[in-house]
Amino acid sequence: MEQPNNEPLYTGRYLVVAKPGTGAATANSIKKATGLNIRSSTDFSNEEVSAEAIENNDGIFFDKIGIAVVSSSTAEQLQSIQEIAASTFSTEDDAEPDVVIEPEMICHAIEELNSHYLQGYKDAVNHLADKLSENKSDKENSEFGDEDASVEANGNTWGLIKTKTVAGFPYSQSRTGQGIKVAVLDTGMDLNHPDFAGRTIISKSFVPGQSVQDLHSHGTHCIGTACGPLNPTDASKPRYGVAYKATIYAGKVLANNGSGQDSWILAGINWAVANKCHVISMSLGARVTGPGYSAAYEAAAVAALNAGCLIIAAAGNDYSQPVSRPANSPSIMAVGAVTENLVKANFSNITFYPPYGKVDIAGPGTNTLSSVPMPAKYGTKSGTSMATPHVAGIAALYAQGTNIRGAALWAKLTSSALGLAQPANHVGAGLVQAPYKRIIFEVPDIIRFPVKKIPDVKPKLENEIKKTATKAKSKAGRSK
Amino acid sequence: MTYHYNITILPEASAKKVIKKIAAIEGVAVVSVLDSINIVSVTVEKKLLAGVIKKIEGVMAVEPDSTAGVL
Repeated sequence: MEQPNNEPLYTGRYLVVAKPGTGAATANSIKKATGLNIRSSTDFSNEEVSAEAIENNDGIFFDKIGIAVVSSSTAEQLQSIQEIAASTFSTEDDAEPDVVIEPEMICHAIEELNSHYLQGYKDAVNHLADKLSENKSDKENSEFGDEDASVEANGNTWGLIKTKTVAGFPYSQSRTGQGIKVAVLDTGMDLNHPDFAGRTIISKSFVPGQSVQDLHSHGTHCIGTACGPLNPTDASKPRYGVAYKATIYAGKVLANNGSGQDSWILAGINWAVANKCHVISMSLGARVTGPGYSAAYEAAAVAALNAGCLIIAAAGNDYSQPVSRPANSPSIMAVGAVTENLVKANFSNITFYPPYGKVDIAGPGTNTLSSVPMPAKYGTKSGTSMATPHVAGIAALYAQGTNIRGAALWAKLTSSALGLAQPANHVGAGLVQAPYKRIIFEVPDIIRFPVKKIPDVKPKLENEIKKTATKAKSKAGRSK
Repeated sequence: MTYHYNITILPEASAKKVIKKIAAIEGVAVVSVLDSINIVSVTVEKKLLAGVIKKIEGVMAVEPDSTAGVL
């Protein structure tokens, strides 16, 4: 397989990734089964393994990270390695083997764009903006019935700006989440919050003995980010909600102390799927104690996807530890957090090697202003919990007026994310982006220059050539 | 003392039949059936009953009910 520019994508070698503590045994098994000369990094001084050493040996086992780089010269050798991997399921219930094999890829540095080019582009855009500001017209087809071009009076939170939920010139974003059901499974909601007056809210508590009313504040905050209003009732506050016309399903699955049982959360997921919600936002989780994931959450997520519902969950705040449960389930979209400077928030969890969960995408997760229960009304929080409802709200925007659901919605979110100068294991596909559009202008008369017909100069030129040739001939005759 | 477990039923299995078999085990009480996601919550009087449930045909996984929190 090659990249479009015909540079090879793979080295021809394979990476053998083993569970912690089993790497050396795996390397030995491969050695025995294939006859390949696999050396350990401990054979080298200070374990400094050069590129030449990797080239000149059949394989190198990196002792400290439990990964081997192996060159298999024959198909039989590769098959033997694959058989070893396939035989390493710890138990019958394991979805993944202990050993995973993947082809080694070639990584390329991302070239910087020429700064002169960028400056020129910027100048041109600014110039056009100045010239055309009185002549703009959005030429996009209005294929999404209920677009709303209302302008927020009091500014916007940084999260809405960076995700282009509110897109400044020369972009526009006018989807609202109308017709989309967003379930937020959390500590409930302040159902009396004035910013949600008149909104369609369906609520249910799965916490024994507690009503939906949010006495913690986390749930109200998350619902605010995903589905808060276009204009907060406090005129001094910026817009903080993404899908401000979405139908809200507030499921209380965490008690007022902020914690809850799997059975309550699963009941909440079941409720949301049964109610045909399109998106489920879960800013909750628990630290994992090892690789693997919960069969129950994975089954629930698969059932949800099949029903056209995407589950989005927080990656966790354990300071670069593996993705929390249940976001570590392969069929749940895991959200990491970035700061206003678009770097990974220091608390945000990250992707570890395959047996652990993967960060799929990132959202704004620090100093996030949103709604909190009355009387405080508004508050600022940080966490992957805050990044998650940004992604959920934007998922609702993509789903609005389209048939993009479930796995397709997942693909839409990741394929449209803004690539960041951050490792993919920190931010996944990048920063989630709303379905913004570029504004297209009509070219004004002022820059339509009259074009004159260019006269036919051929006869005149031929005449000149003849004259010159005659002169040259007579000059040559005289000199003889 | 009872212990809470979440049971995942294989999508291709008949959930009704599986639940019936689970409910028939002495010392097992079905707490809730989550139809849309093929999951049953149960309480058991002894932990070893989780192993008995796991052996029922159509049961994918039996996991103890654990705790999650706000992030």
